[in-house]
Amino acid sequence: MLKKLRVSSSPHIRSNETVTTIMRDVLIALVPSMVMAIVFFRVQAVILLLTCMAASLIIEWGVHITFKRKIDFTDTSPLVTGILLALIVPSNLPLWMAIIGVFVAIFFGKMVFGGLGHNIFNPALVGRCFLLASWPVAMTNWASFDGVSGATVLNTIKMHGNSAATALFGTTSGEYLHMFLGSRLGSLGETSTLALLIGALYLFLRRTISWHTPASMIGTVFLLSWCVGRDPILSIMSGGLILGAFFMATDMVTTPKTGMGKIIFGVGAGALVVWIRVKGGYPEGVAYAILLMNAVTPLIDKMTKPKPFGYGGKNA
Amino acid sequence: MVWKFKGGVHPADKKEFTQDMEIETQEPPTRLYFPLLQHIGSELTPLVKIGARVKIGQKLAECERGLATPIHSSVSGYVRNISRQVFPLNGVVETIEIENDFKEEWIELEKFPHWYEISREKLIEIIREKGIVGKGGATFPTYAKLSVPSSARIETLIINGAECEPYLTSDYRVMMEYTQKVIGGVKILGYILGVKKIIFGIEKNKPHAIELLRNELHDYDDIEIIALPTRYPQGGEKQLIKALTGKELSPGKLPYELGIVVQNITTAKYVFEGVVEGIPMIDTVITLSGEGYNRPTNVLARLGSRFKDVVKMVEIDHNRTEKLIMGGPMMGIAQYSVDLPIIKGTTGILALSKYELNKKRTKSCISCGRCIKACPMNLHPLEFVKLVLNEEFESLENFHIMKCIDCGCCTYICPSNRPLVETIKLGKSKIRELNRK
Ligand code: SF4
Ligand code: SF4
Repeated sequence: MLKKLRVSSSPHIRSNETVTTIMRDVLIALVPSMVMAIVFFRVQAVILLLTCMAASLIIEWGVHITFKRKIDFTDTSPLVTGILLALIVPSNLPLWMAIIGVFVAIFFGKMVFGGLGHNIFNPALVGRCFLLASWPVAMTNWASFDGVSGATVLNTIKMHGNSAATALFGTTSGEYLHMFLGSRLGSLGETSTLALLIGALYLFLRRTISWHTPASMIGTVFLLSWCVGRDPILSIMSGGLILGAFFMATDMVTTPKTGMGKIIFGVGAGALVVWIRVKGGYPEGVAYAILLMNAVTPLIDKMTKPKPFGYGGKNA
Repeated sequence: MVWKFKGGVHPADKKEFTQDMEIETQEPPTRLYFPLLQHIGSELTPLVKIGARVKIGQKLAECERGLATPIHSSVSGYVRNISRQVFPLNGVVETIEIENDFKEEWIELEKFPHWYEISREKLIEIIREKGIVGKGGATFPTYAKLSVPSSARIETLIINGAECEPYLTSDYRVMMEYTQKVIGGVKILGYILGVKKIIFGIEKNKPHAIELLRNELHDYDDIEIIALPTRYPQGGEKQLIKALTGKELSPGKLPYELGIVVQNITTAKYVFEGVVEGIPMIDTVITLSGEGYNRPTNVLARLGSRFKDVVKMVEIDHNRTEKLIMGGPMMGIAQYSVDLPIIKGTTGILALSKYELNKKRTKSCISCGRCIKACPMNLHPLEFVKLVLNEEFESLENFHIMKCIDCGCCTYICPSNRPLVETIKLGKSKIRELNRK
């Protein structure tokens, strides 16, 4: 007896990329930042990262069990959410707060919408904003790598201007270098621009993310900061911009699908970042900027529907 | 200059299995089956009765009206049955069954070696009479593509040698082994259309064919052989026109409105044989490839043979074979049996293993936009699926679902393994049904 042949619609072959490989690539891309976080914040960082990772998986699976859905063990997206959240909170955040943040991120940020693929907002950012609204003091009490707490670069600029920020590090070039390597105050993973860029480069090479959003978002922040008289280089390296632009504004689920849509998203988010930094009550606006743009993503997608082949053409 | 068409994907081309295998000739089987529908268009009416004796090249069925080409017997023997049977294009169709008497007797062939003395209309009629169809997937009758309105001025003839489907090497082997026939056929086609320029479009993964044709044709100023980057679906008619001329065909228009006609490279071989040697289309070059075969190769098979008559030549391993596909892996049709007959459009019979299919788990759409980016028609596959499932057929048409060319890029690329093409096909057939009412 012959083995039964399978019959289904073409195409019969598939590319190698799956949701699992995409998430794996994002995890790999986050490794340099995690390493840098551990270098700067030592045990604190290790504990915070592990707590958030464990919490994310337990909460994800717990929700699945509670609602009697099958757990998909190949889905590592909760880990991505957990790690991202850990990277955007201060290193000395109480662990129970971090766990609540992860819960809010995964449950309210994703599960209530129907799980991965159906959520509107970036889960990690939902978690962060919840924490910031609930415990604003703990969320802005940054400990530096040597354990001294103080103000961030952005806070200093907001309060005292460019020159005061420069004074934190001595010279302008010294300042840039510190910012680039990451020896400064800030959230766990936001500090080292270099580590973030290495991860982002990996994602580019793997074609997991495209240049559209990061380039337009960072470019907009650069230009607008310069226009309002802030140091543009400092502006793009400070706060969560690099992390946000490469790892959150590129989240597939919650951002536009076409290149044009991504550029609109990036420009909008970039403009909001500068606006919040300059006019808003908070020194930092990346999280809110991205969340706001998440909200208008369906609209952007509608506006940037692709035109079928031959419609835009110059020829008959 | 080569232009870039939008979208597309880069599946591994897998041509190494068979590209260096010379075309083998198949021993004709004892029973042959000729479905009276070989491509889109009208079903044919039999010209022979049960019990009749037929010779090789004898017309078996014809349809005077509508889009159709006659079919011819590929063996000599007796008509044993005419009944409705399953055929590889999905469905059931009237089929003529012939028993081979192995006498290999031919009918008298009418040859036209001096084709350049014949009128174009007459040549088109000969091409129809010989049952010649396009070998590039859609199996569209060649005569119909050549019958452009007299008002249209055709400047360019494009010869499609892209063969962008993975695995398939039949066009390539034809270029290598029937070079003179291909060139002869191309000249006939050029003469019929009265073109100023002939462009061969061949993907770069066939360097030997490109070199061979360039050497053979370097004396002709009006013939150009262009090497195209390897990208699926380079051989799609609209994509090929764009790649070679930079022109984008607007929806609803036919290539001749741009002064272009596209013909497949293997079709040219059949045009030459049909006109100069008088031989109707009675065979086809088939690539047998995939991990399901112990010895992948290329075969010249008689039309009407069943799959099993050729696949046994290369020792198919049924345990390894997960899917049997007529055509390429991107657009071919999955078959559930090796008992089905080979038809004019059969250019490959692939036996793919589980590993080659590379099936993924189906998950929720993660809105990654990869399907949109990969779509060569710049459509919105994911939106189609939503609308099909909601049965919003009117919006579907507004979103141009009918422009989908079934190329398969969207499903191929989707990381969540969404059944995009499947659902789009369903939507299209629903719309066709509604429009017929
Ligand atoms: S199958 Fe249709 S929708 Fe999918 S990529 Fe091809 S043309 Fe686009
Ligand atoms: S490729 Fe698949 S997952 Fe990505 S947007 Fe299209 S349907 Fe959704």
